[in-house]
Amino acid sequence: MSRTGITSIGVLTGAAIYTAIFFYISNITVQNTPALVIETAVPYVLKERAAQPVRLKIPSMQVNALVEHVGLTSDNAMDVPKNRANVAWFEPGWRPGENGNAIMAGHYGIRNRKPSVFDNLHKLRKGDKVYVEDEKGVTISFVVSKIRRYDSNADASSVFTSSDGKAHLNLITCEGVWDKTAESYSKRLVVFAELE
Amino acid sequence: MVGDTCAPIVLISGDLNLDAKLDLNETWIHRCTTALSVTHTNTVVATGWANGISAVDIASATVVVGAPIVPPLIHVVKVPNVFLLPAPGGAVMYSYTVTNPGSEPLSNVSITDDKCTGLPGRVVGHPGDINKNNLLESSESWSFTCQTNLTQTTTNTGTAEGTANGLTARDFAVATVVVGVPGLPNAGIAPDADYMLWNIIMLAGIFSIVVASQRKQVIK
Repeated sequence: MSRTGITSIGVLTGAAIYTAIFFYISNITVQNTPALVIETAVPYVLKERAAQPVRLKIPSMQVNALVEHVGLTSDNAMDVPKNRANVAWFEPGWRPGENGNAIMAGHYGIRNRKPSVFDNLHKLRKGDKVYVEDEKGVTISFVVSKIRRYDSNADASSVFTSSDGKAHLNLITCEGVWDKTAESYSKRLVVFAELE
Repeated sequence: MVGDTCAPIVLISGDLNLDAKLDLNETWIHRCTTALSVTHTNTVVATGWANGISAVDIASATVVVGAPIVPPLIHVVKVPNVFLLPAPGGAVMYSYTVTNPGSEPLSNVSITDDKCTGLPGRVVGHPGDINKNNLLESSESWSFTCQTNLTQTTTNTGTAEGTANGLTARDFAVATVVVGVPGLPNAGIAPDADYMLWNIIMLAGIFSIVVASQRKQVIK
């Protein structure tokens, strides 16, 4: 979380205190079987997938982060990176550069006076550049197209899906007010970027 | 790794970074030894977990006792082009690669899938049949694709079969594709209590200065 965010929370808490005082199979045997119906073989033509991402770079935020691969949590939400300095790429989805929405998430918040990778994600503006380096050493360039804020439990269809047939990279982090009980911030900040 | 008739199955090598996770660049080799008195087919199930979903593969091998017969082996790998469909009804393309890890060329090779109907069944004239003899040899790799639309999270099983020396080898490939939009990630770190306290103290100080200066002005 940025110092501004912490300060905001501190200000709110402080003001409050001050006025009052503050997510089979069996029978596998080798055996004789009858012949199957003869059909024509289907030639194998599979479009090669893009390489997997290994590093995210956002020069305007001084971010140069390793990419962890994540999937779903037990409650069917996208998982988050284990290391606060890294970002998490949603592996079951699209790869950066493929036609679809590649999703990356990063932590927000300061603990033990150490920042997290997406503390300043809110500072990105339309037109800023975002780069993804893949496992083959190729750098893919994206440009920020819009920034949106969602409730923490909002329908995320527009984040995870698109229908324009283009390659997108969407970056997600938290912001808003910390809910100690839910152990979650109230909002999700999503930066939408398109392949340049 | 679980075998139906041979134990213990011991990991020999492959975990290069010793993290007990089968990484993309790793091939783990296990070994199991047993004594056979009659012809026997042994089956092993390998299971792994990632992203909260299990992956399973099953392999079987026959050893013929008392006759000079070399049993066949076959192997199929199936990979979907996407592991998650955000909305029901989306298309998934599965690719299948069938190989022969044994020494006997396989005839009557077939490929099927229980939930994708675009596969040929018995295969004739595959482009990967280099010497055009309709036998899957150990040097060949026959590949296929099958496309289907999924309305819900689906685990399907591809089956490859081939025959040699009067015996049929069979292998299965299982893949799961998740259908549905995930929830947004909870990537927030709880604020430091001491940092919040410091902000409160700072705010209190500023507030006190403002109040004091206003009082000063009133007194003047």
